[in-house]
Amino acid sequence: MDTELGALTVVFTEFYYWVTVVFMFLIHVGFCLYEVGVSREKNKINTLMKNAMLIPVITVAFFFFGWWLYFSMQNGPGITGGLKSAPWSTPTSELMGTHFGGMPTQSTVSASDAATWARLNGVFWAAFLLFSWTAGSILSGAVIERIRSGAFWLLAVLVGSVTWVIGGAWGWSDSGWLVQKLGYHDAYASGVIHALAGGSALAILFHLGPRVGRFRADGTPRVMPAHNTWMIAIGMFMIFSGFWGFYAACNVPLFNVGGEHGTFFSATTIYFTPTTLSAITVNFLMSLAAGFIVGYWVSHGDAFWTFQGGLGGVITASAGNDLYHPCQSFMIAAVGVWCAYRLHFWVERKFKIDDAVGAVAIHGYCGTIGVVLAGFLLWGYPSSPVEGYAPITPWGQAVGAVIMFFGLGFVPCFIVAWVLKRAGILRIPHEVEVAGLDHVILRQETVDMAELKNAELSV
Amino acid sequence: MKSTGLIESWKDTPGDWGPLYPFVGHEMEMLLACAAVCLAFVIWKFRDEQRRYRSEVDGLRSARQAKEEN
Repeated sequence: MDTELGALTVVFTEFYYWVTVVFMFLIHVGFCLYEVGVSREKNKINTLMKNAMLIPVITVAFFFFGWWLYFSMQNGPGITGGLKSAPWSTPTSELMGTHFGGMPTQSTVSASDAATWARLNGVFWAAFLLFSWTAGSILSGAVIERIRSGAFWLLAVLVGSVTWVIGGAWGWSDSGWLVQKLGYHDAYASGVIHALAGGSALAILFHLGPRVGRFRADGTPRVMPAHNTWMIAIGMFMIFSGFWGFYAACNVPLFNVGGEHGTFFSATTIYFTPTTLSAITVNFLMSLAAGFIVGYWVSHGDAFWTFQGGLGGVITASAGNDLYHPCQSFMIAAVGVWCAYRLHFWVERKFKIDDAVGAVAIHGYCGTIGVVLAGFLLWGYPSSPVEGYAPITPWGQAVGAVIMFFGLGFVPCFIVAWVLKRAGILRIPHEVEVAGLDHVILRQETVDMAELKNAELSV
Repeated sequence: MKSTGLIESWKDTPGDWGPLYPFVGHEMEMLLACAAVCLAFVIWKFRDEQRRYRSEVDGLRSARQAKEEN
């Protein structure tokens, strides 16, 4: 901070991540809008609160241990090394508080740590936290109208502050073992957030079961109309808006990629591989467009699936959107959305899975397909500027996709949801589900309105 | 290792890097593929609308006739 250029670089980076956090807030406004829109009238308040409260529970959990997990688990541990030391990331670290970068008082924190992290730790933490909220919110939509809020928040903490964070440590960091050994490349988190959260949601849905009345006796699904399609559309638009912040936050805005060739500044991915904000802007929009087009086509113009298709398109192309040509982003997005739509209904028919918002398809299947396709399109690309890291390959990406969707996504949530189910605290009682989660609130509202009416008439 | 793009190492001189995307030189083919998808969508949309509106008009007319007869 003692040269003008150095100070500008630090403050710019700090401000950059702060702005991405503001944008990513819109994702959560959007999730609330669209989940409440999908739910039936009798469940909307509970749906709102179930989703909104994941914000504080994941925030606290991420502060307590999530941030530390991201750094400490990058080697496995036990695959490329042991637990990594990250003294800036523990909840009692002085670097988690307001710090000016001068001499640290804690013995575990070095002067170099203090100088590096003082002004960046908070904004990086916050950007990662917003990713964590996103992972939790992805679960939230799939399980509406029948999961207990307490059980949901526990599962949201598991995914939002443990499993996605470990996935990020392994495959979405500059030195994660998946990147080192398998060349895993997932620039905008198709796998580490979307496939992982989608796999988690699928696991929970196995134990949760479908909503009452969702399937007829012959096994065919009934349509459960959303109570407010307009709210869903606005919510999805908000998510698209917030996704811009997500993309920007996945980048490092300014980094010297010159190495031994001197100084050459560029934006990079989390892997410190070069990209440009300009390129990801075009790729984002082209993959959104393809997703909309294919979503509209496969669903014959259904509003819900068209908007979901837009999101699924971006998610599919995200793994390689740092490098793709816009036409490649477009085609990849188109393939992903087509496959995900078909898979959603096949899984629904075959396994009687009631995914209220198509989260498993749009996030899980699109994310997984995106990671796999990146292995073919980016085959042979270096995964990192560090010598000795494996290049990007189809098999490396495939293994990574399985780890994300199944290993870190499906399995942990399958186990925890099973435990919650055995304890009788996963699902709401049948009578409450039929009456509606808001039935007490609605009854009270009727009483209050009657009392108010009487008061007005008596004046 | 040979890659699908022009980049084989991120340790080369950054100033020499041009296009970073894979399959450089095949931009026209990629463009035509995208254009084909878009054209297919437009054609499908026009046909689907024709079919759908015919069916809806038939349905509406039948309903109106039934109402008039009653």
